[in-house]
Amino acid sequence: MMTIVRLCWTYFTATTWCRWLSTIGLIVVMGGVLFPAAVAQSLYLPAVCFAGAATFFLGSSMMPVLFGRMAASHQLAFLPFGRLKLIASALLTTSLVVIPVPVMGMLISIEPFSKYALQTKLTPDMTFRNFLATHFFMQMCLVAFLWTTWMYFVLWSLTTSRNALGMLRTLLILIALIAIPPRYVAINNQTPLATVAVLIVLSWTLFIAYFLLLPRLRRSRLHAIYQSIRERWRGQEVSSKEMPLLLGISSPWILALAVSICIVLDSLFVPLRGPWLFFLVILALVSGAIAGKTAARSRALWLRLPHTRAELFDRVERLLWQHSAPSVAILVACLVGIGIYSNLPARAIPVWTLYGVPLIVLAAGASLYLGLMQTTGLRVLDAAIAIAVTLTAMGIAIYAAGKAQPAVVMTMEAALLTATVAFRALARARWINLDWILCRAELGAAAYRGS
Amino acid sequence: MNDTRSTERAKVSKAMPAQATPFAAALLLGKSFGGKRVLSDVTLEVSPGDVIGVLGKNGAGKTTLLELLLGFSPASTGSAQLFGHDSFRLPGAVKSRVGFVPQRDELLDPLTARNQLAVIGSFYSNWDRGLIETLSKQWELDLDQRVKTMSVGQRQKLSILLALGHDPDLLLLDEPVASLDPVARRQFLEQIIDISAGGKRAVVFSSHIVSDVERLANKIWILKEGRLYWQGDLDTLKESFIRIHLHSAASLPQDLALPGARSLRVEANYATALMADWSDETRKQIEAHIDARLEVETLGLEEIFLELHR
Amino acid sequence: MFVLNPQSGIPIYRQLLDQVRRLVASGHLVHGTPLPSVRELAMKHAVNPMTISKAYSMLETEGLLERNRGKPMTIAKQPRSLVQLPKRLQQLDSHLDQLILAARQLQLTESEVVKALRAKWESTNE
Repeated sequence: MMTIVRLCWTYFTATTWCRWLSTIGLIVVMGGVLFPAAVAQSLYLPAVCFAGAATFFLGSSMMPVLFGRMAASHQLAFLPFGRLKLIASALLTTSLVVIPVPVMGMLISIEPFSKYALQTKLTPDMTFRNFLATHFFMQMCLVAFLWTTWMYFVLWSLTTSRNALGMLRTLLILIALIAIPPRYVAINNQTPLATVAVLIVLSWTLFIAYFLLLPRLRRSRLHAIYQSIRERWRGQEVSSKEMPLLLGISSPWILALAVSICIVLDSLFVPLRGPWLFFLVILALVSGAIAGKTAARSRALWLRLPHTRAELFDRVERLLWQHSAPSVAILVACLVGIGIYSNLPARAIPVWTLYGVPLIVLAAGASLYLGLMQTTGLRVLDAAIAIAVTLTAMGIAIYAAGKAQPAVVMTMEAALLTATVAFRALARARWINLDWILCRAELGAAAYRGS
Repeated sequence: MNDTRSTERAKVSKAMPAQATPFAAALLLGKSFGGKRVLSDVTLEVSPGDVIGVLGKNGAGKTTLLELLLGFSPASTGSAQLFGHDSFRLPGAVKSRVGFVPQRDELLDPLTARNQLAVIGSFYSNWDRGLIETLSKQWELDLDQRVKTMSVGQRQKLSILLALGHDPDLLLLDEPVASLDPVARRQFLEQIIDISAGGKRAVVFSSHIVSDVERLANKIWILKEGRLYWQGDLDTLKESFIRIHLHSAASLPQDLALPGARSLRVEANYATALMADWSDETRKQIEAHIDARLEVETLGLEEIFLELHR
Repeated sequence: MFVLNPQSGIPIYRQLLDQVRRLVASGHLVHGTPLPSVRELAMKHAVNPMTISKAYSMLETEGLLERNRGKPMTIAKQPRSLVQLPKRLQQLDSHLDQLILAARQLQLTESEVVKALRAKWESTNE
């Protein structure tokens, strides 16, 4: 028992930040629980109380990581009932974090509501109190529990991501959680309690299975195969961080931030749905443009990496995609979000994303490969192609956002795909004969896209 | 003394053994950019133990030659090789044996010198941090200073350090000391002497500062308008290129025939000429055929270079 | 011990060669005197070590230097003939050439030069 308590204590006090968040959150929550009448009378205090609950939750944000680490450790094998205690600690922590929400909700809402009901004689107050006390309370508990579980999942992804790909994974999980569940699992919804309960059990089973089976999986042959594929994909670990620095693509998050700011600014001015795709495609084109200077800057890598020019191209291409990934993810998330929240009819959403997602990815890819093609400063032909691609992508966006025939849009996107593949082949062919005397840094990126 | 010179030369050449795969080689190497020919028919070799000074006017093709040898650019004609491999398709194992200091530095402004060294050092498994520390102290380079705020001289010192860290067998430097003060230049010289002392490494450097080349180089390449105008030992160059003065009792003819004379000036009883391929035979020939007192004036490298470009 | 001028038209190895010969001929460097190592001399004068070792090799072949395993090179035992007058005078050859060249350029006569030489000789005799 003490072990479980100690584990929970560790989750809440893992770092200084966690300690502060847990303490503040707990104090606020206690205030909400002990003085519900006072809170109910204010306009903003309820919000503060729920913020306190959220803070308390964030205080335990290291739990997924610690849970994962301990599940994989050897010490667990020596602890009597180690795994059970670990699972119990996670369940206890989640419960501790979850409980304040329905309790506060009930306490805060029950007083004024029942007073109101009494005054207006809407319902017999005892039954209503019972209803509130049981069904509503249960629903709040279960839904909050489920959501907290999923939020822990997001936190796990966030705290164990070490690079752009990890962040992308987090982002995708967030998108999945935003886009799908609210329609089906929320408080004041028609979903029966049984469904929510099943989902909770399912989620926990999956997570526990993952963490506890992972060590065994790591030792298996499947993992060895996976590792060898990963090694071949990533190449030499030793220079995986320094290469982007020399190429000038070491901060994908600045680009992602810029893209986000553009989106936020634009959302203030563009209420309509249609132009959004156009706008997102423009941003996708921009996010790939940084590739324009990599050919010139790769000169610094020639003598320092054992790669041939072809291998260098492959590696730089990979790094560029990793660099664009966060921005493209944000754009796709934005696209999905707009589809859902701009009152598109349910059938139109898949179509919206079906047109939009490939278009955004293709736009980013096309500009990426066009950038990689810049191996000798400004060529009139390259500039012309760049302009043509930009106009084509914009054209597709405008067409797809309006009354579009699926076949036509598919054909146009297929054409863009073919063009992108062709650009890649051309870029690779140029890199195989890359001449760094002709490809100087001053001539590189400035000439891209004729700007 | 002059008659023993040829026997001495014979003694020296007997002592040199035949070389294995040269560190770098070019065979009829040529390069054109858009119709303009930058290098033509350059044939040369770099062997271990060589310290080669590359001299040439601006635009003679020194930088292009170095970059072609390193595989930054493909040759238009002929071939360039490093350690027996085609430079343009250099294999990985060979690349770590080469160090290069480019004319225009490729430093990243926002980094500190230490970070810059760490970034480049991470590409090599045998990066010698001790050497870097020692040299940066000796050369008074503040490693915690940001590259953006460094003077040109400090940037040049840092560029040199970046090329030395992985103990390359072949070091190519393009105008490495153009921006260094005499003290720093002397320190750099001493470092190159230290590196080349074992006779197992080779250094090729281009420089305008002829006095440095005279100290350091044992071989010279002179590039003129894209062609390798002269290549060989510095000692041989100094012994081959001399200026002679002829004082005659009678008036000397304007069309005085002197074997191997590059420039000739005759003024009544006096004539002076720059002689290439000077040797004892040439001296004997002149003394036999021309009735005049012969005086030999030796020339420093700068003089020779200027005379060759007159 | 030596004065080396890299900017001179005379190659460095030759300067070293001449100086060692001169010093041995005049008796300033006696049998057994150790010479600085190649690396030492190269670092001191900031010149290429190969040029030093070239001079040393040639001196060894001539019999002026001898190599001792693990120890610096030393002056070898010289036959008496080396310190004879004609050989010693031969060391002055290049200097005499330069003196005569300069005198002729300045249009001085032989007797004027000899007079100046005598005067200089006397004044530096202390």
